[in-house]
Amino acid sequence: MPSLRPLDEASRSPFPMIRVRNLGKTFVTQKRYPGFLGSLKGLVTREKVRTVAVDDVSFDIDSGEIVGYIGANGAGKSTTIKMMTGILTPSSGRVTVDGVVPWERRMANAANIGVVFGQRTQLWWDLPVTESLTLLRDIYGVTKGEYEKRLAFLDEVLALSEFASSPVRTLSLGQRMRADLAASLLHRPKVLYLDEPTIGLDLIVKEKVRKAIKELNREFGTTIILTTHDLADIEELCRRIIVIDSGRLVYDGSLDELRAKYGRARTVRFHLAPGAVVDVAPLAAELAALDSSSRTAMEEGELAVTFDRAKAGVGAVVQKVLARHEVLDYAISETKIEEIVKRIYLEAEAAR
Amino acid sequence: MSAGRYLRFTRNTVQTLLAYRANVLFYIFGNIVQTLVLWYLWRAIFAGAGGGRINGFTLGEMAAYLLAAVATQSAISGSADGIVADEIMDGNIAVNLARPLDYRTRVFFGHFGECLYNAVVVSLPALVIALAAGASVGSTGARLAAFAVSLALSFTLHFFYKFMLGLTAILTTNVWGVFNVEAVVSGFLSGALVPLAFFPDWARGAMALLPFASMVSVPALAFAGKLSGAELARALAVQGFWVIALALFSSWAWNSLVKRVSVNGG
Repeated sequence: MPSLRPLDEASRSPFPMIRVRNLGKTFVTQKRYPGFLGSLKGLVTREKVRTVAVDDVSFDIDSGEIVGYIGANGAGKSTTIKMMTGILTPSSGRVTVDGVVPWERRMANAANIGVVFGQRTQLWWDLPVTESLTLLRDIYGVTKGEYEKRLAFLDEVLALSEFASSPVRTLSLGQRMRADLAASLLHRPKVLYLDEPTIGLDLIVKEKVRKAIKELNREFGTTIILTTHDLADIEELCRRIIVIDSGRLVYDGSLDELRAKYGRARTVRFHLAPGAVVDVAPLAAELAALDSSSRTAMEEGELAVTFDRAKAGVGAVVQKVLARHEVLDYAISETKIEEIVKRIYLEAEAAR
Repeated sequence: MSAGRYLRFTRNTVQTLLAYRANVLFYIFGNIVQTLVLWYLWRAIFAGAGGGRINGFTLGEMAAYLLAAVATQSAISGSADGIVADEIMDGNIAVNLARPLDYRTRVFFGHFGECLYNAVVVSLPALVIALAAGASVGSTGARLAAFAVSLALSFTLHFFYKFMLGLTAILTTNVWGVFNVEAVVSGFLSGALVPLAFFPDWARGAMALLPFASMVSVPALAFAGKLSGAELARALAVQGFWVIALALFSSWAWNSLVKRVSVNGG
């Protein structure tokens, strides 16, 4: 199991911006049965299904940090975010955000935070962008003078004027995301939650959005919690990451630490001769003798071997493969952050 | 906390409704046809009965009841239930729970925008045309005042009722069925289709006590001058009771159900 940073109260600020303690959420749903007869059966049975979405999660986040909160689909990321934002009420545990328990004092908490959900918009579908923004200005009680100033800044980083007068429903995904970011920042929140802010965006727009996030953090010291599937977001924005799997916290620490621990890993990809019958098992066993943590698998028609450079030399690995298979070409790559996260997941799975 | 923040939601709703111009015309036209059909139907029924009174109603009183019922229905036509249920089902309630706004108050101001739009844009033309078609109502100041008070109570209790109805989306995924059944039941029991005087005696007493009668029947009867002083006071008291009961009950329902909200995906 990777280093689970102990919650050493002394080493952290005594007043973190966000404090999460033993947080848990269990959803109870009615059991449903497949098919038409099943739906009739559902009318008369009352069987409940309990799903544990978040299980005993604890961490602190200091003011001004940018933290990547990552996990596979259904790992419990969004559920945690929704409890921190006061949308969901947890089944157990406690959260304070700037001293406020979000679901108990929803409105006080809402004034402190900004939220962007990549998959839904907080703008009014039929209204022009500017109209949505002035509506939010009124909701958060931002004065007109202050609003002009903030909008000018947001326009500078997000280039809003290109589409400011278009109704939201006519915007492209990238434009909508920029407008949504602006909407979540008008009231200058202390904490910003970004739930997959770059989902579905092209590379250029992604770059723009990341730059805006960085600038905000630098300019106003905004605390940012980011969930994403795009690990490039993490590499560019976050110094610290929290990894969650099946509702449990499996890693909390700096990205550099993670790289140092897993960065020794190398992956060699072998392009094999066409038509070669590949039986991975004996080769995998041989390589495991060199490094017990090595992984050997066929990926996209190529044979991929990942191993710890300190335990098995690249030369030895290549030799073993060449002895068994006809190789046309091979390439060595450093481990990408994706690979590291995959390993954390696998280790967490194995530990369970 | 200023009402100004919330009034923007009313303005937005009206703006959005007006943006769909084809819909506006269809609604106006549909309402005119419906009102005229009901008026000519009752005129024919009264003519068939050889004039006089039917269940205590003269033709003039029936015209007044009918027009007041149309006006009341449009003034309480907001769909707080639809607003709430849609947000729960598509998950957009998440966005609204993360805002520094009281959820029920915000829904109220959107609901109010729909009522305003329907009363002014949709039902006013129908009322004017029905009056032009001979449905004279000849009202007095006292009857108008009683109508205004009763309508305000009706509007308030109807909102709390609809808000709670919307919350059922947290409990069942089939709100479409719930809403359809509700529309039929409340259409009948509120007196919107037929005055409650036309129901048998044994049913009438119970119906008068249900919140539905307080929604349409009471204001319409008050406008038609069919309630004596004591009857009016009693009917207004029942309306007042439902305002308080539904306000408390909807607060309780919201506070306990919001804990069960589950927003999936994103």
